[in-house]
Amino acid sequence: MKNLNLFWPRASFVVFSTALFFCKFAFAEIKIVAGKKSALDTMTLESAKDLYLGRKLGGDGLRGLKPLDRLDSANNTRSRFYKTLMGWSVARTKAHWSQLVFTGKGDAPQSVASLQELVKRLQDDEMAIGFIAGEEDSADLKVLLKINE
Amino acid sequence: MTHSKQCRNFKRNRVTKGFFTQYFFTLILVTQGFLFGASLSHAETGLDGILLRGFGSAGAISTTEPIGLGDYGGRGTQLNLTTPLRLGLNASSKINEKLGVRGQFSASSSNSGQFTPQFDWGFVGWDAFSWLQIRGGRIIAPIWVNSQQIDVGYSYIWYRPPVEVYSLNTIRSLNGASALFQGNLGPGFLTMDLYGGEGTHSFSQNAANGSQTTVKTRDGWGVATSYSMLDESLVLGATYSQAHVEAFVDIPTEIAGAALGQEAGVSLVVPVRKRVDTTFGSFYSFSLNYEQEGFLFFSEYARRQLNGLNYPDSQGVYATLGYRIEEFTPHVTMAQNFGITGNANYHPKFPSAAVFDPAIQLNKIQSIGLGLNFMPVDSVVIKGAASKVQMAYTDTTQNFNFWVFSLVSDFVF
Repeated sequence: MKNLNLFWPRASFVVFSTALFFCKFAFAEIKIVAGKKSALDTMTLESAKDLYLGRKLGGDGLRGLKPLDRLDSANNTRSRFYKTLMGWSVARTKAHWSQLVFTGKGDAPQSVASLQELVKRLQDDEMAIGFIAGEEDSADLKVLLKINE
Repeated sequence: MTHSKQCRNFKRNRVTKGFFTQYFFTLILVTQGFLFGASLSHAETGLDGILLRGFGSAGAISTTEPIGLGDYGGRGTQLNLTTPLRLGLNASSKINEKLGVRGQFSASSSNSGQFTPQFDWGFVGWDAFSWLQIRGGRIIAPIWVNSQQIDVGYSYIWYRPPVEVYSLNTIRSLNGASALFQGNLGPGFLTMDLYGGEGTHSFSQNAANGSQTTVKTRDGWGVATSYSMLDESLVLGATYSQAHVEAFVDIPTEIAGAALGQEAGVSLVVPVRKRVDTTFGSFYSFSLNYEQEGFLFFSEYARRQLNGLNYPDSQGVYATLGYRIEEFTPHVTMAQNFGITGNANYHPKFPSAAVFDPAIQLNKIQSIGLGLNFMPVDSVVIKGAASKVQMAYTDTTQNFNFWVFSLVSDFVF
């Protein structure tokens, strides 16, 4: 009888925690962001991919955009971003950029060391584009695109 | 000096070098490469208006029969595609919104142990449209698909790209102009580089007698295309180029002083130049690269069509299979060069053989290599590999087999 009393609380805990676990992933997302002064309001997934693959964009407002890479490991944002956007690891992404740069065919994104530096660069440069995790604060930034992980 | 004397001298040097010295030196170089790359990987260098990036390789390559195996990074004689120690610096700057300048310098250790700087390429680029850039200067020669960044070890999986294919033409840059088209096309992304110009490449022909080969191309033009699709998983590539090709060998030759107007009894060593080939050549290649969910496959077929005596028609192919498991990537590469390749007389056992000796003709090179790459941080790759190479000659008694072992650290910053 004693064991039976404990069954439902334990079962409820397991179901609830499992639900929470999947909710976390269901709502996990990455945001492509720009500074408040940016002329852009939205960005398509294809444009974001092209930008971070080092390709030149030709559409209105897209020419001259400067993608930024993040070197910090906070929230695993960097690896989550490249996995979500292109399905690539950071290593594969860097190998792709090195092929572009060292054959003179394009540029790799410039990098920032932290979220704080990213926010400052985005606020200072209206052509700069960056990424943050869904759980990171975007109050001072303009969210151009949300991508579910 | 006779061949047997050279072999004896070589063996004596090999023994005195010592196991400890060789492997201790290797370990130091790899460690230095790793530490250098790791320390710089987070230190992007951004001067005002100039973006600097760099790359490097450090390590050691050894062969079980190292006489004249320059292709494989040994005590090289021939087309040396890679050296264990290399540093490069790449700079780019925007002059205005449409005009920019890019250039790259590198320095690498030569067979004689000297660290030699060179200007790899540098050009002015004008972005006519988002899909077209016009370039002029010393441009990269995309003669083959997967070898355009051949000095940047970090950008490919091998310690050096397969020699069986990429030694077919080692011209890396041309003085000329190109038009680079890039844009979305259908379900994928197309890159097309249309170029023309002339190029020169000199390399150590023979470590034993110190000869130097120079290959020159003129009136050359070509086109290199690649098409990527399926979210960049599949990349198809093709190249075609043609040029007039001239090859010279400078052989240090001892000449009696009397013949040069000097006093009798004195001899001088002077380079005597021999033209070994002048012909029209065409080059083409196809490649298929696939990478998805950790699985990777790289391949390229290349062919040169020449009517030269010492650089005749030849072709090569390779395939690499690998799998990325976190920081580790085990891989296997099979490569083959069909037909006569390189110098007709090229034989590692006889490095000082006469340049035009038709008795020893190389028919085929085959290799199979196993490698394991380890990426401790995302800007550094440490590569260990072992390859078995077989060289087959028209005279089968001259067939030659050897192993190549390498431990190299490649990094970018």
